[in-house]
Amino acid sequence: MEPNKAISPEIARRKAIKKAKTVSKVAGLQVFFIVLCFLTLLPILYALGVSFGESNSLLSSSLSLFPETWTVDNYVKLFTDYDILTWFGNTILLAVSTVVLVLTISIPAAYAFSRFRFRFKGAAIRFLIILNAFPSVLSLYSIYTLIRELRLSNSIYGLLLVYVGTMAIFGLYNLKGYFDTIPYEIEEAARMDGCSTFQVITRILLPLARPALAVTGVMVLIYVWNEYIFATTFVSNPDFYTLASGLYGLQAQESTGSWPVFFAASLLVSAPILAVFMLAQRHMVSGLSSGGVKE
Amino acid sequence: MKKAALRKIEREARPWLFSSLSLLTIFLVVVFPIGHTVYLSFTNMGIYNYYDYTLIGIENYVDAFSLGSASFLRSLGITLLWTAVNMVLQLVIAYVLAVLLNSPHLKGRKVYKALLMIPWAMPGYVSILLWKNGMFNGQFGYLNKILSLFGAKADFLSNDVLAFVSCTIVNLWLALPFMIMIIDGALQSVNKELFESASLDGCNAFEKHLFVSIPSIVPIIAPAVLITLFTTFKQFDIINLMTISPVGTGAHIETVIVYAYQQAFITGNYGYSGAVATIIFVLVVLSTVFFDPSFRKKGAKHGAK
Amino acid sequence: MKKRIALTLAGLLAVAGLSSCGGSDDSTLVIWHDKTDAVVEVLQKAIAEKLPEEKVEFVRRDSMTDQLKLVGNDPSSCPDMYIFAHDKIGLFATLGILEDLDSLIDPSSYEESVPLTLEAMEYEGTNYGLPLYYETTLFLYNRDLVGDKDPSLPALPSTTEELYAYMQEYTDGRRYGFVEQHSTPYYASAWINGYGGEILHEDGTPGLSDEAVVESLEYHKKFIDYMPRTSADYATVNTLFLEESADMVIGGPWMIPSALEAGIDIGVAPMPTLPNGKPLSPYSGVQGIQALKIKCQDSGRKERIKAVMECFLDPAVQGELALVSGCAPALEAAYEVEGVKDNTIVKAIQEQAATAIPMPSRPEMDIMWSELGYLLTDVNMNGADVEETADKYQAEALRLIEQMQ
Repeated sequence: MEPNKAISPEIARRKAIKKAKTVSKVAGLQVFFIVLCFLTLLPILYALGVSFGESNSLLSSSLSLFPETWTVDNYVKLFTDYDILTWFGNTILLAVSTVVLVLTISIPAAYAFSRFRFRFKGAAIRFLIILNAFPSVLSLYSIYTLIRELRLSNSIYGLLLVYVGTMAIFGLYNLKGYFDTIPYEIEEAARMDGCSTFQVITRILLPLARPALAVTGVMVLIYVWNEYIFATTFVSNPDFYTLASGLYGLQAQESTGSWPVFFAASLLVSAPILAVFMLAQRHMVSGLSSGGVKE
Repeated sequence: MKKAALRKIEREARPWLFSSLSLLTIFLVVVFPIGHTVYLSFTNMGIYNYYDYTLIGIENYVDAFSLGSASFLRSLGITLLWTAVNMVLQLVIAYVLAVLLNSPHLKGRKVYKALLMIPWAMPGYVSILLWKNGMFNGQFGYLNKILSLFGAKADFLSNDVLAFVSCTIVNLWLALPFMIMIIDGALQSVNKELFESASLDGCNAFEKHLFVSIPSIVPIIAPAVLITLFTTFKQFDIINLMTISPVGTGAHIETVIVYAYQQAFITGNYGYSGAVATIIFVLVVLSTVFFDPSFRKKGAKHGAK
Repeated sequence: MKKRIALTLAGLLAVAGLSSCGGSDDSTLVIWHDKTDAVVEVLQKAIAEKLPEEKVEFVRRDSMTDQLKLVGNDPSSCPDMYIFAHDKIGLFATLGILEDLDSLIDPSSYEESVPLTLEAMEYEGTNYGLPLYYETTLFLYNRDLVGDKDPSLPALPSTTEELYAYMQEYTDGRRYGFVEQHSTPYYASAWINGYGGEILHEDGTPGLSDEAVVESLEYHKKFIDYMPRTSADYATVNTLFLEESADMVIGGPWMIPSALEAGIDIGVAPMPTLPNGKPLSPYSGVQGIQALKIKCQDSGRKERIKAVMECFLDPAVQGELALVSGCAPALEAAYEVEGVKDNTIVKAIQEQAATAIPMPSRPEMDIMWSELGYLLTDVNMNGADVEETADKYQAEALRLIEQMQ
């Protein structure tokens, strides 16, 4: 049903041209993004193909991303030849504990830095940001010394402490930034009703800050899941290997190297964290970009 | 009077009490090791004095600036180049992609966004090894398979320039998702009316971006950019895994961090590498104070007082 | 509120979960290694037979030497023993983390070992390890592609010049005449040693810019034109050989099991001779077991470590070890074991060992490995000028060695 039948053929033609232009522009954009996504995922697709292929698939000169003969041997090997289930268990335990502990210590600290005025507040925040710039790989030996002196070396607690400490700055900074965006008036109203500070945080602030909590949690989770330098250096007991350190050991090396198995393991390890990431994605933008907007 | 003083103390102590657990952990895991590293830099700790090292003054610093100066200075230059190139490319590409993702009529943008975010969640070293062995490998890398169609072949990682480009590609792959997400989020909070009034004022598309959207997203993305700047500067895994470990590839594009790490582990000279680490740290502090506007503001305020 | 409590509970649960599996079992002896499962099985079986009550755990460690540098003096992290090639003995002896072997085992019980293995375990007059077996790289070839198996096949080159001609003729995009890990110091040193070059002199000074080293690198360079230039890692060489895309390789005995499994008819030939008449002379490495000093402080534990080590003094064990690892046993008596004496690989290693050079074990070697690695990659992969680059890394090595003191 055309609303205006009296439209002149000239105008209709122009409209059609404009529409066609927009359509072709959008179509071009559509193609661009499809190609871009494909290129972005190329290394992963390639690894996927190799992981399902036979050991010689790397050498085939064909450009096909699919193996000539499909096999799940490389995946089966992970479960028969390696203790990948233990690694999974340790990683989940460590990751969840780290997330919980980081949030537990960061929430009150972020609240203090967001709501209280006190001396050295600005300086403390700047100090923390600068500390974050120090590459921990250069203080590896000193971190190890700390762990050893605390009698935590070669245990999962040592790793837990290091992970919590490393992510504590991010937790504090990101949550503080989000708390800053929540108007103080909401809190005041609650205080009028006789809420204590503890109640204000748990009943008012935290529900409002859910996106920031989710994002902080996911970032910590990703960090712990993927961290391998501490995990390989501080823990030598294979019962405590994490996915990252186990996978690191799988790397091609003299006498045991097998790329298809390594690729299979890489994809298997990445799958759960990808799933968590996708679930949290809709929160990501609001929970991160507003973090630390106001300083 | 007494009561007021007590309350004042309470008020002063309260924020520290609230943040005590967090700050204590940070002190233990971050501050103490840095301090300890600085301390080691004044000792002769090395494989001959591994457990019974003594203070030797600033000898390691003298060494860092004289003996190793050529390679140390070179690595500093590479670090600057690396940080600058990567930051500029990241910001420009992420901005363009975020704008395109926000263009009207685009279908399936959620799917594109989700797919483009995938590299972010992959374990970093896994991604790097995927690139190194799957894509760049001179023998059976995918890129060489494509090149061989044209009868060409490239040794991506043996030549300094090509290796730098390859590492940059990997870094962009790893880091762009975060930046796209941040800029995308910021763009959505940009006032649409402002954008439209700009087009009424006769601004063309380019000017609209330059004068309207970019200035309005800068404050929103600034903290994320700062974090990314540090991450880029700190980047260790890419260059180390791509060109050095476990077997070198012939390219020399070590940044200072990689350089200091190598010094510590090859020679076992923790005193010397501590000195290099300390110098790096001081440089970071100086450049932060220099580049971060919030520091200069603070300084200006102090000056005004 | 509820959420907070739930969160705290979850945290406590997680921590409780951690504690249930935390803490290592002090009564188990730990041995670090970087060997194949087959080797470990032999060792485990030996312990189980001789010490049925003893609990020993074998732990595979990657970058073991870096780990030991870090934790060698930390009883809660370091192993009781480790098995590794002899070239790090000087380093660990200098660090002071190794137990004097004579305080554990009576030297007379293993003095009937191949002399080169005994020398390798000694550093500055002290024995630090019990030699188990020794290895060298070998010149391996695919008998279906080259050699005398079939008259139609090209002949096996016996000199490097013949090898070069062979590479020129048969190397194309899909096939390589000869492949080696040309820029990995352990492999490339066969060429350097063949020219009489010394990476590290006996007095601990580097020799990268010595004439012999430079000459060998100059000569070696042309061969790289016919090999994969940048992907000269183990995985590539191994894969090419397994896929019958490489006719000849220089590789360790550890390459042999996978090649046999892949159905390659594998041959072992003497190393080709250089223009100076000398064959390529690879490094030999002696695999031995070492005990950590800090773990030997407790006399009860020391007795257990000693008992475990003594399990490996059995010629039958060493013989079996040699067979599964493709190396040559340390104990002379092990050569009498069934299957060892006429094993072609063992024999090849033995013959190769005659011209092989034992890896230096001074602590400076740590630096030399990495500096030689840079030199090789710069020259072979990046096309740098040999003399200039050798001078550069010689200077760098000198500086690093000085800094080490």
